[in-house]
Amino acid sequence: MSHHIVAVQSLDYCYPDGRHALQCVNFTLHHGEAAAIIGANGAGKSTLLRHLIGTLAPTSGSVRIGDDPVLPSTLKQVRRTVGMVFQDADDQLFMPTVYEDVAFGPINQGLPPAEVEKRVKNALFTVGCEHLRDRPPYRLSGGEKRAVAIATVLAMSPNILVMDEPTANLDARARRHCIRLLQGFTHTRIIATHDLDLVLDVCTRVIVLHEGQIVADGSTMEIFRDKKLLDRYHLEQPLRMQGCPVCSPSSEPCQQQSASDKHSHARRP
Amino acid sequence: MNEKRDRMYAVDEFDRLAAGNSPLHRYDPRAKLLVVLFAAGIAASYSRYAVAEIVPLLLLPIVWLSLSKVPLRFVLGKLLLALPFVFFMAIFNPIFDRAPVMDFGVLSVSGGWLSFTSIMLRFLLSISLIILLVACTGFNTLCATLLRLHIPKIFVVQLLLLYRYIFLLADEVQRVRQAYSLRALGDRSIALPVVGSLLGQLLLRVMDRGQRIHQAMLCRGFVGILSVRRDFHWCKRDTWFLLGWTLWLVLARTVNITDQLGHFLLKGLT
Repeated sequence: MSHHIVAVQSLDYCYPDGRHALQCVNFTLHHGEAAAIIGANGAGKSTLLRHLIGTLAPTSGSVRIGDDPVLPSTLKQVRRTVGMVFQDADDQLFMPTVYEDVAFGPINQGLPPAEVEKRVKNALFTVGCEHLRDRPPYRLSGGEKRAVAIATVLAMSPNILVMDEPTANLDARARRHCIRLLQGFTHTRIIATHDLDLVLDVCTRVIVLHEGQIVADGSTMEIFRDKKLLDRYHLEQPLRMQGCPVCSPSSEPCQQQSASDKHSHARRP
Repeated sequence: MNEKRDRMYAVDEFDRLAAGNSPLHRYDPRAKLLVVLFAAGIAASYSRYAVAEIVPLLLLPIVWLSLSKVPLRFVLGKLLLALPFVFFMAIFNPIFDRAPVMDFGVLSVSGGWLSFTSIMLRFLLSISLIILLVACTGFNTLCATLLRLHIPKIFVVQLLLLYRYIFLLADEVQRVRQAYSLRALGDRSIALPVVGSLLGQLLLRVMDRGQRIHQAMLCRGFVGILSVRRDFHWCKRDTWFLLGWTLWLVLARTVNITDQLGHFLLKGLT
């Protein structure tokens, strides 16, 4: 079996306060697949991701990464295979300099210094942050922090990338840079996000979570075209699918719009 | 707001100064750290009423200050920040120890005031040396030096993480404070009944963040060791630096230089 496969079977999780966060979650992701996990706040997205990296253990059911079930005894192998990018990059960047942060994972993997150097160089090159290698992480901008956080994971050469809100708190340019990066990866990708335009650009599959249960699982376009489904689960179509606010008949009429006002729809590159 | 926060924690200034290039910057951090530790040890070894004997030790921070290009104002500012802690500890001595131990004609000095002055001098020596050490070495390099000197890793990891997250802690404090002041209608001080709940909030947030950071570390194979990469090159001048200052400190400890100097001057005058 490939190490790139993620199989979640009948996953249930109850928090110690009795809140049922996940109920009978089932899905399988294949090699190279990019899947988005979407849902309203509190739907269980982050809880699900934490099961994939073994920081939470299921109340019942199982998670398999490739051949290995996620168990305390297999955590080392699982974390070698799955790289997780946290929602807040500050949680992920804890070393004094960017170089040391990116080298942290490879050093813990026991790699020789020359290989560590190579991995750090490649990872920073991939995210376009070579010039930041000697900077302290707390001096970086939000976009730079995010890119370096991705580099820290890439340096460990994972087969599967798990990301929690990768574009949260980024400005437009940093967000676009992050999306381009994600598009360029060939890893199996699992992205929990509220940024549905990002999903449109990066993911081929969408899993909709609601109150800890999977309520829809299908191709991105199939899910996003179903307005009723999205509405039922407190979601909206991506902005790009909602039509132009000026000329779309479904949009609110523009009070101050004069007939002579012109606008054009720029074609996306 | 960021500038204000940076000023508050002074970490920024330390980083900026550590990036400088002065004769003191160029000495091996191990040599500087060992001199500081030895000086602190020597200062602690004097008797409680020692004042004149400690004064010659102050030559060390004075020379370091002139070698380091660190502004005097900066050192004094940081000393002032630490002063209240020592002051309130030492101020009890004159209250409890009232026995006169010295007479200057009509003026008699109690043991309490002597020990108070002694504590303040030791504070001046050790804290100014630590400030200069961090300003001319950098906190991260200093942590790497501690590791090199076989200080237990667990302490060094705590120091590194404290330094890394002090900005975020400052941010959290600032946010909580701002949220309070916006709804307290300009009241700058925080009402006592609210302090407990604000501190509780802060503690919970810090614990939450700590947990998330630990998870992030575990995800990247953390097994309790943070390896800090620093290259050290010990050369001859570092040996001379360490040897020279050690000898000076030993000399100051064994010979009462102030006393000798006083005798010498008096002899010269007569």
